Amino acid sequence: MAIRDNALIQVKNLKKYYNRGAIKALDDVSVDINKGDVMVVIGPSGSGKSTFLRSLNLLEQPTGGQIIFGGVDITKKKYTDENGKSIKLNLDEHRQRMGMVFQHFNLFPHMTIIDNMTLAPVQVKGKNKAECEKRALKLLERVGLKDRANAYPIQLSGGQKQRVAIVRALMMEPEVMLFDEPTSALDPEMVGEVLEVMKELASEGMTMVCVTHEMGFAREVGNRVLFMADGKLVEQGTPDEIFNNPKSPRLKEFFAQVLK
Amino acid sequence: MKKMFALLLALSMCLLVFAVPAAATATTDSWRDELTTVTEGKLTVATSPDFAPYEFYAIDENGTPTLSGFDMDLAKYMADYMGLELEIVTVDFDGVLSELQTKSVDLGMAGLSPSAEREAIMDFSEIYYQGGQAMVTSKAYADEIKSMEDANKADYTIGAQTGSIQLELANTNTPDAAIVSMPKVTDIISELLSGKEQAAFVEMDVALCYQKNYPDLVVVCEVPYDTKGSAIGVCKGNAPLLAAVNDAITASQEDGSMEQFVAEAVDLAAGDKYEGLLEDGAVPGQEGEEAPDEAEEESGNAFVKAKNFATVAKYKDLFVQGVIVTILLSVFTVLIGFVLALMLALMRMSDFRPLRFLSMNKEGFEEDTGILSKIGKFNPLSFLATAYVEIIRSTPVLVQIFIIYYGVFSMISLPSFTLFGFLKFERFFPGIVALGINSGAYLCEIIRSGIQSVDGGQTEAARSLGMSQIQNLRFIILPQALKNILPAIANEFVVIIKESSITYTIGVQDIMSAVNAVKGAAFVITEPLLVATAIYFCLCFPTSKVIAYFERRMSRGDKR
Repeated sequence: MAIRDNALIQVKNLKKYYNRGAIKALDDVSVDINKGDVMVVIGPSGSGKSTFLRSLNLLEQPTGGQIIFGGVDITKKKYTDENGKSIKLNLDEHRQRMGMVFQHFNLFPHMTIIDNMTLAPVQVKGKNKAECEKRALKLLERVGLKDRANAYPIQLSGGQKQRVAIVRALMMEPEVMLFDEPTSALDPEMVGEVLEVMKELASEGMTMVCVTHEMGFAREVGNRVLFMADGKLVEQGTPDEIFNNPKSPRLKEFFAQVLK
Repeated sequence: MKKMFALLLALSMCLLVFAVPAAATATTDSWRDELTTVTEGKLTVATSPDFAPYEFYAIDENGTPTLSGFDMDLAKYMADYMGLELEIVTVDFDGVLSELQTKSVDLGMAGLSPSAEREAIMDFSEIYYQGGQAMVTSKAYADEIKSMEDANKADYTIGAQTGSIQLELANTNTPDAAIVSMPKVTDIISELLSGKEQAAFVEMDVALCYQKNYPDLVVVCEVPYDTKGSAIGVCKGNAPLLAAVNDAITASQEDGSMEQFVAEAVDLAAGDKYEGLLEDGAVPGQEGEEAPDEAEEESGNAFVKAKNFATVAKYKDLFVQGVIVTILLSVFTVLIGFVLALMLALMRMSDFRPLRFLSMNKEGFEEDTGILSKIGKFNPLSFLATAYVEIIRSTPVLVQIFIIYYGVFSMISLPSFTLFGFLKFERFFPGIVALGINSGAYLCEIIRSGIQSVDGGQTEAARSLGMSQIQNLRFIILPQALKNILPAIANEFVVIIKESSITYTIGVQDIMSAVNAVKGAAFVITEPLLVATAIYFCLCFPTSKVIAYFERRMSRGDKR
């Protein structure tokens, strides 16, 4: 299979088995994530959608398949370059190019908001601290939290924390953003402010993979929707195809449950 | 052959040269040029100051507790004679033997009687003091026990000092009795007077000294022993030093110094000369020997006597030094322990699996079941660290200290110097190393639990930002883990304050060694222990209260 120009991440036959395959958290999932895609992954809980997302930056170690990112299969310890030389894979480098936002925010509680944001660019990329702080303040201003720069995470609401988590990931200037149920731990009145930031990000052309239960967001912002059940990729298509014309009985059943 | 002959000739020439002055003065100075000691320029002498009038702590004119006794006077005399600086190391009696065996000191002076077994581990000087051996009992048993045969009964308990000739004498002369060995003569006398022992074997002069202070003590008989007298134990194989010691002994006997030392020491031990060992406010003119006798009889068998605290107070300098040493011991132990523990904890939590390839399937992914996957999970670093922690936690700290001090540090020579005038580095250092090694095992578990208490999401967030494992540890995990475990580390500090008391067994002058000094010198036992109890309490209780305060404050900050 040739690598298409706009395929940022190619997932091929991705598997995550436990107990020699008795439990299949991910069962042969293949999908291309293209540049500029806003891919929304939906499905019942335990369907493997979080495992799929977390496998993309190898927070979850798969038991089979390939994830090709930047022309390199990042599931292997080594790869061969164009001259046929064997090179040890530096996973940290690849992770720098994928931002991730977690359900439980995972801000560093012992650091101020601004330090949370500048730590990785300064320590990992070796950037100038003052410049990073300037950029961090600009990003905070965009999400309306400039005045909380010197606060500690504990002093913020859930919605504020998640907005900080998003801009913290953006500080590394990633090529793709992975969202793992970013609004599931939030009080309902705070869901909107986080989705607003994500919507804005999507409109700027950021490639996004988003596991969510927010069907409205999937329908409105997503350009592709994946439906997963029992570790399998059951159906995929545009939001219009998925929501208005579901084909598989499993997906119809799911909608019957959630859109009651 | 020719060479051998030349050597012999040279040797005999040397002998000839030195024989002439030797004949004139009865001493030879042949050792002068070849004299070497453990620490250059110093004569290091190990002793066990619980053995009045040989060696004990007495209060001098300035009210300072000073090592005294004729052994100490003779040691000073010998050091001057050899042109060296005297350095005294105080340990238990069996410690004196170990120090000589491991060649940590030059001389052992503790009323040592030469014996064949001891000859194997040390050289002996000539006899410098004609002592004798005695069997003692208390007044309560004086009628029953009139000879060694009387004492040789199965229902009698007989005491003697650990590692001493007296212990051998007890075993030979009263084999049917139950024989108890204790590290300090003071403890033996105390047990005897309280009725826990019926008789004891003690050096004659020591027995007479105790008798002056404790009139209930009765000397039953002199115990026959083939080597009558005490000699100085000399580090084995140091012939020039042995020659020097023998010359010094001869000189001290010829100029009458030795006689004077003994007379002074006996006076001092009986409380005749210095007010220090007398009851405060004793009637002037009353004879020194009677004053304490009456006091003893008046207070009868009281557990604690107020006047004895006054005696202990005179040794306050030793206690102050002890407190400083104990605090320094604890601080350095926790520091060493912490660094060690951090390394161990990281080893235990590392992901170093050199056999991982065995558990890979054809596609290069790890299998999670089967024997090969178990082998693949083997982590040698973690295994070593776990073994270390389990071994250290399952063995007594006393054993560890002895192994480190007499085993490891007898092979490594440490610089010998004294800090603040009382902290001997070559003992303090093995002490903190041994305690640190012990504490490291416990702190390792504390640190490990601290690291594991940090939410797993923190690592995920850090790694997803591209941070390496080390960066994650340094910036994210350890700062949070340390905050969580600070109270536990501080508690370990309190534990170490108490546990450090064990280092007195290798001659570190901490609070416990002050207690032992007072016990050996002033013949009071319970009171210095109570003083030590109070000191330890005053150190530990406020510390744990302060910790508890900070613990509460920190947990308040975490509430959402």
